Amino acid sequence: MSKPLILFNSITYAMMAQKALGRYGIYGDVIKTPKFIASCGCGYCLRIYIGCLNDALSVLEKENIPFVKSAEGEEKP
Amino acid sequence: MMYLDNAATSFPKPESVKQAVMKAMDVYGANPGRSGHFLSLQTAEKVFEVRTQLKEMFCAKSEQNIIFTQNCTQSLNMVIGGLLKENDHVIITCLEHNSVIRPVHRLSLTKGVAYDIAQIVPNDEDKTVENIERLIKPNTKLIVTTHASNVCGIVLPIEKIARMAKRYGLYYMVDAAQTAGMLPIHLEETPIDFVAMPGHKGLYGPSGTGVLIAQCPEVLEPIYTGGTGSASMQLEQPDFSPDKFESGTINTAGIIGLGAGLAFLQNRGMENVYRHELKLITQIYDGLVEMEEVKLYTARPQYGKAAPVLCFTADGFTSEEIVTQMSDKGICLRGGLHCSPLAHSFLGTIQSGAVRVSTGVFNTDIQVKTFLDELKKIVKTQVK
Repeated sequence: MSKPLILFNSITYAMMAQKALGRYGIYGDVIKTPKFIASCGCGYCLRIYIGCLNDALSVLEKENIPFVKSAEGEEKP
Repeated sequence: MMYLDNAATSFPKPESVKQAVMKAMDVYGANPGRSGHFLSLQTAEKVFEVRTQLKEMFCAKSEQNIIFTQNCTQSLNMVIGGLLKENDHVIITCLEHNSVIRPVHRLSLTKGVAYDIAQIVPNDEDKTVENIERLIKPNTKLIVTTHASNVCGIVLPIEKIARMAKRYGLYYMVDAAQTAGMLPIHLEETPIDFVAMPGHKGLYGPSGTGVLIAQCPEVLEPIYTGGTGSASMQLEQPDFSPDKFESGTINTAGIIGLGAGLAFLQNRGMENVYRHELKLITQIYDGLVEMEEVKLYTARPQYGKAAPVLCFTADGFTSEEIVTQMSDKGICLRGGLHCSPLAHSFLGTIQSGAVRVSTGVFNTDIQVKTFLDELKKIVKTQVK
């Protein structure tokens, strides 16, 4: 099972999210948005640990950090 | 060599800044926010760290409110050009630099934007605020003031101006060219909407860096558009900050160097740096007062009321002559109008210009003494 992804408009938002989530003990890596989740072309995602997605989205809402969408994991070809 | 032109740009830079720039050239050489490879992401992290440093230093809302520019002039233009529309009115002061009056004046010619220039009153903050308030009209949209004059160092009461602007629902921008890194600007406590600053003066970063802190970036139109590394399928410019305002490749090495400058200030203590620079400029002031050939244009610098900048004229010499002769002795000053004809008109030096001296963190008491000794030799040689 792949790690969940949260898509952001820009790398600045992705890094803001990474920092904010880190304060709540939810860790993630910033990666370039994979094609399957991309919506408007270039963007960045935060790839977080499996099982943390709902908590992570709650934190982002609380911290007022906008995100575009999320996905539970990568699609397999 | 003695450098006393820190109001133009600070020099020398701290060793840590030079090293940070070199490291950026060697290690963080990718384009941040443009790719998914590890080098691009590492570089982007370093840039993000500097946004965080600035956000914390000025208590801005978040990193997305920190916009990197190439200098303070560009930051000022982004707000003046991005906010004001046809038939808007803007108020500036009589101390403003050409980087404020020129874009405002240009808009008056091209877009029908009207403007008024408020007279400041040295040592009377309330009267200064009153003079600005008196000029407010129904179509006033923006007030722009310097935090401190780049010619004479007079500090304006930005907290009081900000509160007055808010009472009228006006936007307020501060030109912090001479005060960023010196006098605190606390955006959580003071309702300033925009702060423009260079990275290369009081923040001790390299030239080619500047910052605009926009607490409400949604109200600004970008003044230039292009590739941002985000939402690339859209032909429209992204509508989210900072991407909206940072088209093209940013000055990555410069920004990383700026981060080192911010860390340098943090370690030294901003107040300690200010006190040191003010102490030296006050020593210069006290020495100049003793020279009957020299005329000063402000009161003795006071803590919190003056930036470490002052100007003077000398009987029988043009400002350029003083600068040239001092340069021959290895002392760097600036003469002329300092890109601030408004300030010189206010001071009464528009025809003569003036010599400007501005201290920095690396200047010393011994240098101040040498400066005064050498100036005395020059001004006393004029045949009457």
